[in-house]
Amino acid sequence: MSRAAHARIVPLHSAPRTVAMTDKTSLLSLPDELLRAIVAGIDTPREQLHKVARVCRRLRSLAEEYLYESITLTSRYEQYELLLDAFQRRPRLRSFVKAPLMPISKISATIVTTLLQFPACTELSLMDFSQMTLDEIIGSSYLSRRVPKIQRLIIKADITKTYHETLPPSAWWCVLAAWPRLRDLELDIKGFWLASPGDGLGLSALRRLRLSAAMLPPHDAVFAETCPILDELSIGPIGTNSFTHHILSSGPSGLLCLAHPGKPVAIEQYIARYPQLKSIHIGPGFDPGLLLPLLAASQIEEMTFDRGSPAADDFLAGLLVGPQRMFNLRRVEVNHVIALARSGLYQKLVHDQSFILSGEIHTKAQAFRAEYRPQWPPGCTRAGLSRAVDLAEAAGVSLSGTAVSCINWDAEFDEQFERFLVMCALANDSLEALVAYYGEECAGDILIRHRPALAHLIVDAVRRRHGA
Amino acid sequence: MAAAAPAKVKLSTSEGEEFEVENDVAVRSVLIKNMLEGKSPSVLRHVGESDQAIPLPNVSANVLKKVLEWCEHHKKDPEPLAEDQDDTRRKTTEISDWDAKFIQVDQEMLFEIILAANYLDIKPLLDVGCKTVANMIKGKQPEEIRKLFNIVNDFTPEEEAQIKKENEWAEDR
Repeated sequence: MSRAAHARIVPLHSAPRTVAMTDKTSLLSLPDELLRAIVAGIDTPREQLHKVARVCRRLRSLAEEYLYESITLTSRYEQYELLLDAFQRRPRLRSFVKAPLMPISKISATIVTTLLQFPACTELSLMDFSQMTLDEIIGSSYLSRRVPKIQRLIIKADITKTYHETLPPSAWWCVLAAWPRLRDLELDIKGFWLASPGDGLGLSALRRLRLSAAMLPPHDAVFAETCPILDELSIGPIGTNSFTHHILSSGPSGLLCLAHPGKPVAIEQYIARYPQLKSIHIGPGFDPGLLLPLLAASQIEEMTFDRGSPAADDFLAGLLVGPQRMFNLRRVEVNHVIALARSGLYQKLVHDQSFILSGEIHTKAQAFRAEYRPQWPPGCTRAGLSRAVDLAEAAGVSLSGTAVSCINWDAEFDEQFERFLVMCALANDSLEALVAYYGEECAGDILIRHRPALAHLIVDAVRRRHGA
Repeated sequence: MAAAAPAKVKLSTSEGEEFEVENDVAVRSVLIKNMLEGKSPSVLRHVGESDQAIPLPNVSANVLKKVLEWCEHHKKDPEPLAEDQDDTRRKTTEISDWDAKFIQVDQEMLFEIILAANYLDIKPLLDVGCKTVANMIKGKQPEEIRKLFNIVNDFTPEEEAQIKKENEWAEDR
């Protein structure tokens, strides 16, 4: 803090101390709500919460709330036995279970069905299951209607290597449709074709649906009838064009957020169907000339353009200024330029250290720069993006993303290369590359700038020696 | 209608010591902000409209000085979003270099800052304090935590063994 700032915070007058001195404030003198906030900050590893629970009675009760709230299991068999044993010994722990996350195997199917019966369990994340076990959980166990409280279900798996032959794919949706409170569903499944959601019953409470799974070709169901009140829809890169067309051409018109990055899609064909859209996230495949006037007429406030997006300079400028300007636009993220992030660039330099230092340093730097220079899509230039940044600022729109960070990529490269050479000089106890690249005088300045404390220490030591 | 906010605000500590600070520094505290905007109980409504200091009976002068130092540094930060869940925010809180240096204080002051941030309703400062304590706990065994915070072990050996067994499923193997 500056001296000036200190100067503004001086006591006007001091009164005699009339407040009695109390005991020193300690961790356990904090009220439960604050201890709970501290314990909540110990989110990883979960084992640490177990250790906190063993410190004293008061911390035990608080730590166990969080330990059991989001139970995270591995595929270790005895872990399941121990957990079930704990619930049996202390039934009170059941009330803490809210969002278990676990890999699914034949063994754990039992515990999942048990946890889902607990009173506060409203979220479930399943990872790396076998189809057969998942069918067992989602199908037979759930049809008993003992678990209607689930509001959020996340299933992530690659089942290419597992055998499956039980619940018919279309039955999934029938089962999920029987969960009246399911509001948020994420399916990230590889290696298995799911039935289209339209083929099942309606998911009447679903607000958010993220699909990254191959879907079987749809029948004649209308997606808007399947998910009538959906707010957010995200379709991942897996899936056929006919599935994407079915979903986008028959989705609920009240959709607020639509994401379809990855695979090419002519999004301009579907935009008019969703007049309430506030946010859109797209990748390649759209026609900028056709999309621009549709966007101008929309209510969209946030846009993200992913890899492969044909968001050329004139298209970006058109969003921000001119007759087709989007007046509601507040935020644009442009990630269509392919480049290493700042930390990635440095890591790459460190990884290729021996190669870079093995030859003439200027040549190596030039080769490295050329290899990792950002790849600008057709019609996109640094100058065009710089102009878009200025236009966005004038229009009160936030423009960000990896593409924007590429505007000054060369300067960024110079900065990271300098940092890399300083690191090499100190780690290898050799100034050769640093001096060869910057010259002796500049190399000294650079070292002082990067390691000021070390430089001062050396200067002081030299002064003392000369003084002596 | 609430009166226009004054350029400077006086704050009175538990000892009766008074501090005068800029309004934009003081309003990092939601408690003080609400008092100035007249949203607090009627007995306090007149504060900010006169020369009277806002009483902060739960905060001592040395702690208030430290808290105001934080408010001064963060006076231009955006206000935390109302919809942010407390637990989620605390789990994702990252302590900036400046905050890390600011919070390098003895334990008593650290807990006093946490109490003051809670009383004054300064959520980002409360998060920094709580996350700092959480980081102090991380990686430590139960006995090390007791020693660090001067906590008495009130478990019997049998209870301790039972807890260890009950929560054994959470141990990394």
